[in-house]
Amino acid sequence: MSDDIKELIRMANQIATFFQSYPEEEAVTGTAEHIRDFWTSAMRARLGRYASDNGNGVHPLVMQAMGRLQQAA
Amino acid sequence: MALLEEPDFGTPKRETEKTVTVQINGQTITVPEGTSVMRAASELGQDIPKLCATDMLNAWGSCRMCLVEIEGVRGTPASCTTPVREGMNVRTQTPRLEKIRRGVMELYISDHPLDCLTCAANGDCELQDTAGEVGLRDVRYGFQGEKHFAEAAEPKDESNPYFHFDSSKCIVCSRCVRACEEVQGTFALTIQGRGFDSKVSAGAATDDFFGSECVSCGACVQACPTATLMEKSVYDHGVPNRSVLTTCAYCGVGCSFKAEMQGDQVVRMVPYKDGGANEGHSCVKGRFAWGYATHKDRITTPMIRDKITDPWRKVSWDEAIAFAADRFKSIQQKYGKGSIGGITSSRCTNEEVFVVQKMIRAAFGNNNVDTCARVCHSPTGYGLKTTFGTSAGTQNFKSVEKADVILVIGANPTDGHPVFASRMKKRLRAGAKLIVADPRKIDLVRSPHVAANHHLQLRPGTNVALMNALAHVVVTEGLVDEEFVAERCEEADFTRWRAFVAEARNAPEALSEKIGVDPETIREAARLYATGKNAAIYYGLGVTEHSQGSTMVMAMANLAMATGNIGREGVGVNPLRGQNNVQGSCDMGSFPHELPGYRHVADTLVRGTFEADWGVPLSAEPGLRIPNMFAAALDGSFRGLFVQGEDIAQSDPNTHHVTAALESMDCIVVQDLFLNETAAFAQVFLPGTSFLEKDGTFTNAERRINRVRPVMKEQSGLSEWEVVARLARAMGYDMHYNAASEIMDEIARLTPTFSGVNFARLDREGSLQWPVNDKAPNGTPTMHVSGFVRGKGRFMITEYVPTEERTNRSFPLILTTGRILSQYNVGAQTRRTENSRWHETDVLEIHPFDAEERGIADGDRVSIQSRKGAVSLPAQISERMPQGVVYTTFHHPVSGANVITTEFSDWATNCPEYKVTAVQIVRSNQPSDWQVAHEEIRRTNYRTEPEPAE
Ligand code: SF4
Ligand code: SF4
Ligand code: SF4
Ligand code: FES
Repeated sequence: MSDDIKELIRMANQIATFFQSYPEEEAVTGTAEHIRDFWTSAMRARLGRYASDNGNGVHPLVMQAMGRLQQAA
Repeated sequence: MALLEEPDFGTPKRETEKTVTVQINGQTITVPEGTSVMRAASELGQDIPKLCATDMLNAWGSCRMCLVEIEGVRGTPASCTTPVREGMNVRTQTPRLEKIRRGVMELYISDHPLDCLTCAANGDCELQDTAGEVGLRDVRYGFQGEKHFAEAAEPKDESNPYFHFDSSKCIVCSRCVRACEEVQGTFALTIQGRGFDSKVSAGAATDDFFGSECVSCGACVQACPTATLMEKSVYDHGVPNRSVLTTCAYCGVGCSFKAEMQGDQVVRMVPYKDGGANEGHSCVKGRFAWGYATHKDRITTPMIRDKITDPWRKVSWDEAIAFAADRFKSIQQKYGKGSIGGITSSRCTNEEVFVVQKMIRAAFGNNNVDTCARVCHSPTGYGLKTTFGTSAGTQNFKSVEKADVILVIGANPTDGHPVFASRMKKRLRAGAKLIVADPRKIDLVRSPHVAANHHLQLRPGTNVALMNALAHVVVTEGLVDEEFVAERCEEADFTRWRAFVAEARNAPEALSEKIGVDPETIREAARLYATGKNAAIYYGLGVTEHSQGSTMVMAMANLAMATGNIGREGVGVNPLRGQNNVQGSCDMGSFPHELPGYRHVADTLVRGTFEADWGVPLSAEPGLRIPNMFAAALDGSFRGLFVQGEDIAQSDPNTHHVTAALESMDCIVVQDLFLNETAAFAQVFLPGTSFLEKDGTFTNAERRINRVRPVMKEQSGLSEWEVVARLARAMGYDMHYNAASEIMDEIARLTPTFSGVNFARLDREGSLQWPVNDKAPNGTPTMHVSGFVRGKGRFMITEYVPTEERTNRSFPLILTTGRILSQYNVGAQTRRTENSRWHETDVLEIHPFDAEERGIADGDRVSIQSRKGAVSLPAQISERMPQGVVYTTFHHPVSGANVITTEFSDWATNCPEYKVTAVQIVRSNQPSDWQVAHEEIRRTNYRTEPEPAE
């Protein structure tokens, strides 16, 4: 795993860790919106690709959030 | 303007609604109850001679110069200590008073040197003026007082680098002593001895000023009516003859100053009594440390080079700008629009910051703009916006005067925000209670006449746990302000939050071990905060610079809402901002996802107004944040960077990573005063302007927009905004302004919270606190008064998540970082002044036990090793540190404090976790590898080509 993707996973997981205190639906929305609002499209795309290819080490909420962002795109 | 001499009303203004009407010399005046006769007379324009009184201090009544006659009152009371009473009839000038005053003056002069013509205060001496006012013509006691003889006089105390103390001129009015106590709150001075033998002393008999407790704030110098305490610069150059009102460019307090000048030379900086932030007070930085502006290290000619190892070549502005634009354009051609970006600086004016972000969005065509606030207060923005609806503190500084309980978290105001600290200490001396949450025993915990009721000496990284524990007590002991919450906050969010903090795992007893504070102490602190009437939170980077920085800001906002401590004077959640214009640089759209005024780039409506005004389409995609820029530089997709007045190579975490990223870029443009650490990696250097050359505005921590006015012309020949506009034009975007005021007009046009702001109004009114618009035409000293900006306040769930940075056997100690009074940030300015005498090197503070365990003695050189790198520094054994925690500052580049900090950061904003790094400390007698390599870079990357022979 490249350092770059490791870093993105760490950041996304941290976001999910904050939102996981909320009921699942809100947590997924919170995580997805945060990533949408603050990340560049290149960063989102890279994590999105990793999540759909493999997803090892990615927080389940991030997996759902990325799915939702890809649908919206 | 000519020299601005502010009126001195003799005693402070009283703040009460009740008024009293009196007659003075036949004229009638109505003043607030408690006003002195002296002040009332002065407000009528009928000044009474005085020596020991000045309106920054409470009356003392010792000189007997200000006597008056009052109908029906026997004798001649002192007007400074006599409050007005309804119907009073006062006479300030009668033959009897004249005679007494002259007699008093004779006594003073009989023991005062008569070297007026050669005295440094000639023309600026109240003793001289008063002698003139009372018509002193001769001195019956002769001139035999011992102070008349130079040989008998004590030598001057010249130990302070900025002012001297010449006791032979002292009239023992004790204004200095009182200024140090009442205004500054340091209590460094005393009067020793009695009668003619009494004299002012800085502490113990042997102490000089430098060796004493004095923090060189200058309050005593300003209060002194004679030449006894006098700026050395006035001694050297003579008294100034014109003033320019401006704003300090150091910290987020944003003090107003009169730059007192001769020609275009600054003679001294004097704090301005009408300054809203400082009300006439100052600290050693703003008052004295301005000499860097004309320091010989300043670069005033543009420079370029092909490679960072080449020597710098001095060129014209046109050549430098064309060179930078060509490089940026060719990078974009090859690697795409998003391959370049820029960083704005919190040290620059709002206008300068605004044009840089505009250049990036409009000329570069992307949103790759970020600001140094990323590494300090970005969590404040996120946290307060989420809970309250605005990315800013809630109060003005004055509000602290109404606080009954003050909770200081992760801030060290006496060092970081000294003038605000003085205001806070004044309130504490008057009886407000104090809770300090900090791993270190900071000065506020115990200093003269101030003691914290509770010091919550928590472990670094456990802020959120502490807040949850405090909230638990509030919720479970029935201390919630139910009425406030019901009326002002979102119900569902509150209910959820209440259930969350009430869980047993959030009880002080459950968290106490993690936090490192006794549960009963936490309970008492919570009760005090919740029940002590007006409770105000003040916080600093010890809150934000954590992986849970944003969570912590929300946790504090929760606590304030739950106890109803928001929306009036004396309460609130108040960030103490680091640099002078952190608030402003954030307001000005320096974040990659936000246009000016904190509006998301994806908001089509808002973006549309900018597109229409700027005449270009703008990107709707958030750009790169600083850490993302570094990552993208290392993967080769980000290759050009414009850096405005910021030293990222020194101030950003994990130096190895940062410098590797900088080295890998094709074009770095640095706009700064000095060849800083980042400039070692730059190809273009564009000389910047110091605050003494700038025309614009700064916005301080209380959202106060203050004017910065030039006292001299730009040393480099161009303003910074003009340089940026030219670069934008060279990149193909037509940006043009005739004056800085036009930039503010554009800001006001495009930013609803600024719509009522313009230079003419600021010049008239002094300062304005945003929002200033139709709803708040005169600005907004207190936010969220009748409702939150977001509508209803939103409680957020703040689960405590320990940082990933853990101590273990190899790295058993936690390093935390901070700053000290005399130095400022990376030290580029203060290190180039005499302030360095107070702090010649950074040191590592370590608890005696941790030191002893490692065989470290005070002053030993030690190596600090983290998972990221190592540096070495001298150790200072310090009881202020708890066991297991070590501390350093980062004011000197060679210390390389960020060589050891990690890449961990706040979950919401990527604000780096400066405050927690696991380290090991060992004795060492040599510099670290990084420090050796750093020296080498200084040798190779800073060379300038020799000037061609004429
Ligand atoms: S400079 Fe400030 S701290 Fe020092 S003695 Fe004067 S008032 Fe006190
Ligand atoms: S040093 Fe100045 S202010 Fe202090 S007692 Fe002497 S004359 Fe007054
Ligand atoms: S550094 Fe801060 S406190 Fe000191 S004078 Fe400047 S603005 Fe005021
Ligand atoms: S000024 Fe009133 S007693 Fe000195």
